[in-house]
Amino acid sequence: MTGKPTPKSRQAQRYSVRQRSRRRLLSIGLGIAVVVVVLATVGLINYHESSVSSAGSSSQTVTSPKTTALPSIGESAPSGTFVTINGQNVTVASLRGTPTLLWFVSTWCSSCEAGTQAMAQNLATIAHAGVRVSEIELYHDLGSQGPSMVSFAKELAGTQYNNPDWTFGISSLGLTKNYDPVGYLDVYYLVNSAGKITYVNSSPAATMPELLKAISRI
Amino acid sequence: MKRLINKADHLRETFGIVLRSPRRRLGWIGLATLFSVIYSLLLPFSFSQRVAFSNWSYLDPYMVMWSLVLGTAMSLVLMIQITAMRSVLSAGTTSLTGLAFLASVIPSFLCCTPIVPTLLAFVGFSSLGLYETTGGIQYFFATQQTLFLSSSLAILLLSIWWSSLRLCNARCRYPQRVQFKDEEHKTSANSTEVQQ
Repeated sequence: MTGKPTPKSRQAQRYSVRQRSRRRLLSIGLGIAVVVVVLATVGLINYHESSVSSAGSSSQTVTSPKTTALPSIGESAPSGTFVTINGQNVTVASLRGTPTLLWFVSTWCSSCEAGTQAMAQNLATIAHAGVRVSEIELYHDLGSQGPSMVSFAKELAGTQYNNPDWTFGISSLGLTKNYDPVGYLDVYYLVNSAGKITYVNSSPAATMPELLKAISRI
Repeated sequence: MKRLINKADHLRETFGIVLRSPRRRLGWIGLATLFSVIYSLLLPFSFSQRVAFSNWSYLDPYMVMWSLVLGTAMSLVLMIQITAMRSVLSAGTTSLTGLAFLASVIPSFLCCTPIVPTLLAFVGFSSLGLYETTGGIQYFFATQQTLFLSSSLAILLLSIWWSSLRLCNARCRYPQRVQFKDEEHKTSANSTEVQQ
């Protein structure tokens, strides 16, 4: 009775084997996809770090194509205008004479929020070195409107909101194009009193020690 | 309804097997703590742009809650997988677990990092198109973190459900093959008594 397997049971057996191998292939494929995505992420982060650090060393130039290259160290700060939250029109050229940190943010970006809080904590040191901070919202908040720059600044800068060494503004398209051609969030430039870029980096919340070091050299 | 109650019983039985000894329960708590710590370092990545213990300064109740929930679920999946592997079975949810992990950290890694703008610039977007696209994508990741975290939790719960049922079914069908250490001892003790 239980001796020979019937054709039906053989067929069922074959079907289950096929199903199992199909499932195994699917899990291997998914596993490979996960590994590829993780590797691509790590690779891209490394690529960006190398391109920013190459912008940060005076002997090298940015590796990305010309149209998407960030202004690099040693270059004159590109021109452009922004409007302060008090409604004043400011040109980059008018900032010459005082070292300035030009910092481009988006009001919905979490690293920009963290950076603004870090800036509020370190503003005294930065101002003591004679550097003014201009925190500028990227043109149209990069097409996705977050909170207004006024409420963003009031909430995150706290008591430093009215500090004369810290200006908040909104960028024109030209200024955003000149300083952030790729659309990075949270990128900043340290410009000396002669209008030359002396340091470039991103995310002050993470790079504050490096920024303070660069400021001390100015 | 009856089938669902039956499956819930299976689930309870699996948890009973997976967490049956104090040592295993301790292991589970250890794993849950480890995964919660890992999540608490990874979830605030979008604020600090680095994986460091200083990320804890950006933790709020929302992130603490998600770190604990995801850490606990992830450790439970792992415990079931370990139990299945010890019984020479495959829980069949490794890829799902990987997918859940990826879904939970994607918003932190893709908002405010250079990944999206660099990728789009490579593809050939330029000027306003680039700004709006890169802004739109990053804005989505910045504002939809709850959606991603909930999806990750759903995938983890699905993994728990699926691997538990597999383990339970295998145990019902092949009780000799799917045995655990203490049961093996009991069986061998019984057989020696019978022989005597």
